[in-house]
Amino acid sequence: MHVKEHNQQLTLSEQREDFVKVGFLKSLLLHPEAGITIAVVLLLIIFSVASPSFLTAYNIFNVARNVASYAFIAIAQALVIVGGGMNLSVGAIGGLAVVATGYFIDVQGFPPAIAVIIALLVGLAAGAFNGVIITKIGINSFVATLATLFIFTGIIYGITKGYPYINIPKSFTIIGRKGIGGLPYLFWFMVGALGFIFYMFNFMRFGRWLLATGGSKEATRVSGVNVDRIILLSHVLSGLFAAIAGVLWVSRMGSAQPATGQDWLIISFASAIIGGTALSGGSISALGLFMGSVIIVLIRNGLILLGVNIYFEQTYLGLIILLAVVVDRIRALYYQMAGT
Amino acid sequence: MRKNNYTLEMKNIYKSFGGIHALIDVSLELRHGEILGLVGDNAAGKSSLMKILTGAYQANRGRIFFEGREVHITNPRVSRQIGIEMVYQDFELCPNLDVPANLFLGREITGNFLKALKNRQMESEAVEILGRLKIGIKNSKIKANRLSGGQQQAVAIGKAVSFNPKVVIMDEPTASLAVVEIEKVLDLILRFKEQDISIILVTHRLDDIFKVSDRIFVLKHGRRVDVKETSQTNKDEIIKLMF
Repeated sequence: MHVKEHNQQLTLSEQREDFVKVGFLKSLLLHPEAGITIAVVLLLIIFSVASPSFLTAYNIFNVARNVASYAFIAIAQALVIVGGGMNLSVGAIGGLAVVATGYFIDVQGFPPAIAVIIALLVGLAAGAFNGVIITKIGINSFVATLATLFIFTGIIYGITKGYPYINIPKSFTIIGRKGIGGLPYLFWFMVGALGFIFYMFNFMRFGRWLLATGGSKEATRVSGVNVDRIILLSHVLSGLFAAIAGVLWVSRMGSAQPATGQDWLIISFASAIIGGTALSGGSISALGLFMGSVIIVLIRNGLILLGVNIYFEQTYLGLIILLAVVVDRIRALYYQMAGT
Repeated sequence: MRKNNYTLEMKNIYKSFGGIHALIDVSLELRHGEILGLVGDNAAGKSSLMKILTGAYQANRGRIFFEGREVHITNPRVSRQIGIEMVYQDFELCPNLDVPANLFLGREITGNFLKALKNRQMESEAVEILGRLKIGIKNSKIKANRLSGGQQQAVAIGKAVSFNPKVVIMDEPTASLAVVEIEKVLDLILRFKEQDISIILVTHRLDDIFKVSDRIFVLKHGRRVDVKETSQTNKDEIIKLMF
């Protein structure tokens, strides 16, 4: 009887009363997605006022395609950041997948479907290679993936000698160039992938354990979870998503360029971190990854439309990452203060 | 019927690290539902003895009996299967997960469909566990890093207890806590007696030991010095035994 009363009391107070009291700015800090969404809306307004070509169907289609590609790249990075690591070789793995797709279609004459499967397997294998080095040899992910970044990039240039594969059948480019419902197929793929990410981190043991690992490796280990296996798997998944991004890139471009992926590192970190993936690990948001990708694409796209000196582009992206990290830091500090 | 009064018996445990004798023929008996305080100076062998129970170390010699049956605790998993849980000094929680996720970490409840996590069921069971232990956390959806130290330790203890253990080893559970929170954790420990859980409380804080324990076990230089009924001894005597 006594216990029952107690329970009721606990259930009733489950409404997030601690969030009701805090002010608007503070709740923005606590809900990263809200802040990014507002930023996205502001950017949309600014760019549509500043440039008449921004809100055209062509530009929207193009932006949506880019957002999709960036989101896959961001997912590849976020999947390992959330576990407390990082993957500097996302772009190189993407490049490997691009080259594999091109090589097996153009040189070997395989049907595209087979080439795609091989490319995805290459991504899985590269991710597994990263994961094994990190968990079995015990090298931290920064150093391990810095090394594999060069290893994979070297393989790309060794195989291609720098030349692209250009004989990609038209049928294969439909996925990357056409769409349905006013939005590209790529965009809908991304919706599916983000849906999977949401499901994984909310309803799958693996997702829960990966989050836990990012929060506290030690606590997760003493709870009976094989932490090394979780980290290994997260790198395998990271490799897979980088490879998917690579395959879709080929389909979009209609050719397999060996240089693909060289700018993915900055994209992946920028989108993931702006999207609320804490650099210290332990947090991820599917909506945030989407919004983060939108912001990066809008800024790149908007800068072109506004006629800004595009050679400074990397500087702008770097500044945006810096801004995101600062916000991330403020958020963490705020959490600490709220915790005491 | 159980063969004797003991939940756990360690007999003539010997452990050495190279040439250092960490434990020399230590025998320890833990009664049903009792709280046994384990004290000793630094390097007296307290943590070695407990690590043998949790499977982190293996004894060189000696036998362990659990409810009268001999057991071989070869690794931490075996220890947990037998029914021994450990609570650490620094509340082993994931700061980024909410209370139910922490309580069920590693043994989440899943449904038949796609083995999806049953978050609601875990949440209501978490509320039930917290209620049963009278752990005062109003909002169970709150993340662990927003709980106070005492609340975090309470959740960590709740986590250990929700495995339905027979023995809980607590290693300095109050060392990182504020004074007001220590009382609450001690109250919590006392409540386990009602649930037929035996507890080994390892701590430097003799005050804590005298508040909650039934007996006090003193280790010195790897040897069992004495075991006293708490009601029939005092701090001075225990300190003399320790040094």
